Amino acid sequence: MSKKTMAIKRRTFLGSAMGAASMVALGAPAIAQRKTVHFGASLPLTGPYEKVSKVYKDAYDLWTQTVGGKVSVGGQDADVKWTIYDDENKAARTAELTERLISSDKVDCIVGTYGTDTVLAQGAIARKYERITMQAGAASARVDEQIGGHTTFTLIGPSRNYPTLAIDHLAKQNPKPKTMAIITMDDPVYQEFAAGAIADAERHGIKIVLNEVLPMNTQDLRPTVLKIKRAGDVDIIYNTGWDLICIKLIQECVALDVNPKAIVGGHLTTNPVVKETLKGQLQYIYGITNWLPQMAYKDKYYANCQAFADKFQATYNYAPTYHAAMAYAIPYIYQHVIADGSEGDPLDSKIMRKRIAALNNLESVWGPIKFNDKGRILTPGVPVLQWQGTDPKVVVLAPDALANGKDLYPMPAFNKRG
Amino acid sequence: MSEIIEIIIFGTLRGAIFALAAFGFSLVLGVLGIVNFAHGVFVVLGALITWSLTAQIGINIVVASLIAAGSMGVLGVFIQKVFIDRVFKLHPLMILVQTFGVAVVATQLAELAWGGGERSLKVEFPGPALLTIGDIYIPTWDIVIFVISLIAAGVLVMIMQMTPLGRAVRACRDNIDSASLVGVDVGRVFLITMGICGIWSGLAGALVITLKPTGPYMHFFWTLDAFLVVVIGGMGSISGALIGGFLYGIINFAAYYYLPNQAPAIIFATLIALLMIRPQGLFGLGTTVRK
Amino acid sequence: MSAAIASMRTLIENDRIRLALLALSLVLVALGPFYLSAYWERVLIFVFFNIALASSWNVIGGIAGYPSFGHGVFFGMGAYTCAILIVRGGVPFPLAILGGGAVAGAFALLFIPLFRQRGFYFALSTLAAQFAIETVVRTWSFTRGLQSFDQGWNLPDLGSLDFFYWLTLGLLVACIGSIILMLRTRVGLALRAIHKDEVVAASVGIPCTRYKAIAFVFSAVWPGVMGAAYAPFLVFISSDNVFNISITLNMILIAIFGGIGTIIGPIIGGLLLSIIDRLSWAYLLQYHTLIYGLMIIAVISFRPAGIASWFKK
Repeated sequence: MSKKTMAIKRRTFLGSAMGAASMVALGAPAIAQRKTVHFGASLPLTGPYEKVSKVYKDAYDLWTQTVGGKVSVGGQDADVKWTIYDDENKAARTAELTERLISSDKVDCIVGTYGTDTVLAQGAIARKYERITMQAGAASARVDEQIGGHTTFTLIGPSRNYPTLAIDHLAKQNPKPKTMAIITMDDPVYQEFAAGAIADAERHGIKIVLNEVLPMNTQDLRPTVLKIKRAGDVDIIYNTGWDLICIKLIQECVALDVNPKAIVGGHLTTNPVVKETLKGQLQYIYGITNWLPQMAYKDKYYANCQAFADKFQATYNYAPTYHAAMAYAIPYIYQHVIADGSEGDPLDSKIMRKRIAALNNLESVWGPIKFNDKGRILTPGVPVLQWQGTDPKVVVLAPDALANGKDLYPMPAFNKRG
Repeated sequence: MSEIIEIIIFGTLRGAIFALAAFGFSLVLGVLGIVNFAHGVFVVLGALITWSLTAQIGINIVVASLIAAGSMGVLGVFIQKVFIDRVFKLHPLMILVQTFGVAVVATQLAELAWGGGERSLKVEFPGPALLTIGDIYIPTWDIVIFVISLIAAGVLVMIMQMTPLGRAVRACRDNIDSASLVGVDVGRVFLITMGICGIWSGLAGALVITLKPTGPYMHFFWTLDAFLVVVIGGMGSISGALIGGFLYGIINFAAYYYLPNQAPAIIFATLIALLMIRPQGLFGLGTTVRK
Repeated sequence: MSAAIASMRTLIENDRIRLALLALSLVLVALGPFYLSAYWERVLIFVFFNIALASSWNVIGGIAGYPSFGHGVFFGMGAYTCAILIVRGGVPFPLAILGGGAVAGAFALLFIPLFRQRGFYFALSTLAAQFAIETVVRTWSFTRGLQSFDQGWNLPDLGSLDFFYWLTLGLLVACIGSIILMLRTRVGLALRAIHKDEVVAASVGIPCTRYKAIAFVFSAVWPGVMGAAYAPFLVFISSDNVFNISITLNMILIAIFGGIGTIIGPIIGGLLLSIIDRLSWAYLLQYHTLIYGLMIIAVISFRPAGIASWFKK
């Protein structure tokens, strides 16, 4: 759907949603009157997060298509309506839009935005109205501390746990890595990620020779890679940053002929831009990913993750990253908890909150859904992958249940490859 | 010791690109006496046009770079004629805000054309990928770019010194009133200056995209970098900008090497200090900005 | 159109009608919480912040003619001071607001050496100062957050939306009132003289540096106060959202759009720009930043004296 038709539709369905809400206010039995379920969200649709926002938006849309535009509310069919605003990744704008979603648009289910600051700003408003939000866009523990559980449910695992499986896996390799350098972007979510990596490495007796904290808008990774080069023998270089940082890191390692035994590119090596840019240089690079089509999860509509990924690819013409499965799961969970009308209005925040908190491994393409008391999803370790072949492809290495190949370790030097 | 040598080498290599991107900025500041907040747009658009011509249409990269640089020259003339010329006589603030508006519009259009993300080009260059000096490895491609930047600086110096056009530009830079008294068409010189600015900055962009991923939103970094180079080197002079570029490259590299997280503070504090102590730049011509 | 403007002009030029109109609109605005939806209330609070910030910037940028491009730093300082005082020190909110203004004013004193620059160089020096200070605030453990990895501050809930509506409206009225009063003193005259020609002003014995310093500190204290009020309003603040360069740019754009160097300019600019922003955002989502940019160019290229100049002879 183009943005223009989206905007027109938004205006028409705003009217109907407000109509529905005012009927509820008049005291008629709420459930009987419910003709629409209104989902409200904001996303940084313009600006640097435009691409990832598009994945979220397409995933919401895929869910709507998958359910045929209708869901059951307390046993009765209701039309699905979406209102999605552009928050430009600005906290103040997000707060304003959340106020609008709640007080003017009267949305039933609030779907969280992308980014720590904006998710926190959104949570502050939702908390004021005693509403709940479900988000898949901020992994920082700050979300748990400030708004977790009572207001916000988070579908992404804490970033502190991201590196564990990867470091456990690398520690088992032969020759065993002894030293590690970490690149940390200066933002809570990456700092927590790096803290996890440091703790995991120390547990295996791997020495941290360098933890380089970089400002978020760092343009050039060469000073950092030169520092790693001069730090002596570094067996692992671990990037906690995003895809662009991974690209620059590997380019500079090639440029300065820095050859550790392994480079871990971080949690976004599966973003298409990484392979498009690095091409063959991506070979041997490790990565971690929260989700893969190879995983054996399923939901009511998709027999496995591959089926979901295929449908997504067929509909939007690009391969889904983990964001897609995660974003798709948000309305899917709402759909599950509002289906039952036995305790009163299933769209009432208190009832929704209670039911979401009580979910016990609900099956979804994003994996089993169960939250801790801070509203954070309980996740298994983050799987480890490696790019292999001259036209690099993903090979999963850990956990064993998902593994479909063997490590290529240690990595051959960049200048000694055919 | 070899650490410092490496920092100086890599900083200088990077500095050549900073200098190339700043030549135009320096000339515009010297001749028109203005700071153009849309300067970085030339670099970024030059990069993205080169990318499109090479990666999408398949044109040879040398030709593509020249086309990109040329089209940035046209854009420079356009911006001067349609926008800056209208407000030239007003307070400097107006030019800053107006050119900022131009930068916003250009970035938005670029995002519509290329998307908000970054693009990069990889150039296959014959010969070894790395050169070694003692135990220091230097990427060959960086040296190629360094040499291209020096050649581009040389060409610009020749144009300025040897052609009637360059003489007119220099006359305006040195004293605009006497230049106009002896019959130099000042308006035309302004157009040419902005054109030159666009060409050389666009060429910088074409080189940048072979070094690192570049996206439309990065224009403001390039504007600030150009300003830093000119403050260090002194405005209006090409050789000043070249030395300013090298020095800025080294300062920037050293800051991100030794204290990465404080690097922006170090760099901007250096800028303020230089502006306070020696506003005409370390190698400036002694003229100060008119407004 | 022009006839309408002309009749408006005569209306506005009548002092008594002007005062009555002003009082009426102020009462209407003050009663806002009784008839506005929560969303529009929040929008208006942002408008109040914007007008107050642009009015403060206008003192140094518009009236004295020194275009500060680092003014957002005082807003950020105010917000961070308030947050740190409340979270680390348990200071009551009203005192924290004063603290925000005081810290911003004290920091403004550090900027005084920059007044040796003029025009472009002053603008870019202040911009550089903003980036440098922001980096320090973001990386120094005392200011960056309560816990080691935090980036920013979380404030307790200090009041309802209505409370913040009246608070910011009150601060806005105080801000504009104080500017009007200040401009009537010798300082105002001196600033206008400095703007016109600093050399002449100095030659007739006006101590330019002192008056510029007074104006700069004055125009920094109010953003500090507004920042201090903003922190608990947004609840979560971080350097990304209170030290953002867009805050500085907004101050400048609003002042220029409405009419630089005038009292009414920032008010008109703040109202109009947020209306246009929201309209373009609602109907032309994808293009709204583009439209914003085009508007800036259009106003400066064709109406550099701002919208307010339409209502003047």
